[in-house]
Amino acid sequence: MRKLGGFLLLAFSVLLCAMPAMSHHSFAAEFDGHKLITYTGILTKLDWGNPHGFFYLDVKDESGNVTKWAFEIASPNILRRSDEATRTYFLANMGKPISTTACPAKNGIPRAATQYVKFADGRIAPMGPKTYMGDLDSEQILRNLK
Amino acid sequence: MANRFLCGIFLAAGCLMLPAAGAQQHPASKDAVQKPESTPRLPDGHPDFSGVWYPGVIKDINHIPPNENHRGYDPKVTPQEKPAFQPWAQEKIRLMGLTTDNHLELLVPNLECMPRGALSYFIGSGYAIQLVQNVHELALLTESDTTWRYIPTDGRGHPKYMDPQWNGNSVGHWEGDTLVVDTVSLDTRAWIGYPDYLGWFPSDEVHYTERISRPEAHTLVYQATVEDPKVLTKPWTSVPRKFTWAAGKWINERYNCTNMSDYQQLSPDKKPIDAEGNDERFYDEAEYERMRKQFNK
Repeated sequence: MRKLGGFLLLAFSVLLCAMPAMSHHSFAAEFDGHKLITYTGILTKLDWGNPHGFFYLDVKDESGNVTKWAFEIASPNILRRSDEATRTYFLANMGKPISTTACPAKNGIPRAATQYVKFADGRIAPMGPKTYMGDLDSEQILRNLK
Repeated sequence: MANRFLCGIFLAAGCLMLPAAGAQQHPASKDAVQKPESTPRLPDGHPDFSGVWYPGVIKDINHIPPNENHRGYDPKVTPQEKPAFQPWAQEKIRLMGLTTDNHLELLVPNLECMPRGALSYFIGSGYAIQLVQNVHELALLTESDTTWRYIPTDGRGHPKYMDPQWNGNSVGHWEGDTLVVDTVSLDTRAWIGYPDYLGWFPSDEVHYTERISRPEAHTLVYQATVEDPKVLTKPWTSVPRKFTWAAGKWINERYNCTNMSDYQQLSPDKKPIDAEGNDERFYDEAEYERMRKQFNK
């Protein structure tokens, strides 16, 4: 228990510096806020739940191998306040290629915390709290994607 | 019996909704900055808080990006005081894991999706609330835990026998245009938290005094004082926090924490959910298709 406590504590001390108030729990324990990676893949599933939503992409690497990636987004209630049609955008993009800028999991599993999403029709929107702490422009990267 | 009970509920809900419906008739403005309007009032002249409220000062209620943080107060103008712990409580905090800045959020009960507690809907959450009010009572509905608070304002006191509850037992009275809410009988698992300081543990003698006002139509102001003679050396008071009226908006269920993938990921003893987001306890279409072919012969 003490070990877990210390682990979470460290996580939260980083979290407090960087996180908006509405995050449910530890981003820094799970994801690397200094890395921003752009993923493109076929949207296969939307998990529209609290405290965080998730969407899932089939991402193909250079050798053609497909990996299923899970992307954490903000809670549906928070995303609705940005745009009430957010869920509809995801559903309309099922089976289509979409891109996302996201901070990957620290432990190397295929899981990342999304910052922005670019849908198949070119629509770009923020989908998570601002957790990336580096210098890259998460939105601009997606704008530059072809 | 069940019908009579349901009728009672509908009647009560109907009484509560009447003033709310009146409040919702104000047009939802899309202006970047809301102009002050006079405070809506109940038939008895007291302010009517009915409506959906978003935490913080919101310029455009129709567009709040998830990567923006809207504060209910400016810490440079009104810095938040820190709680003054008794020595034993300070030691307990140290043993639990204390950082240099007195932060104690290592095991916040809400990480396990326990309710956040009565104060948190106003000071520890980014989620919307809805207030429904008449001259006799105030009800708070919240997205944060999909729970409610009920605050009678008809002059009654706390009941003689009370059991601990996550949101405690509350009674309200008016001091001018401010509703003062007295809350006791709180579950000690309901940590006291606010965004800059994720929480600490209360004792069974914790007592909240909350002050709610609506200085103009679009703004709700909330302030809480926490007294806890077993944990604190003096009462702790939150700075006044502002909420913005989200006229015409709805609040949503939060169907509390059915999607705790992170917690499972962080807790090795919990069953992890696979990369496709499947949890074996629940129905999954792909699994159904796969197993149907294998077993439905």
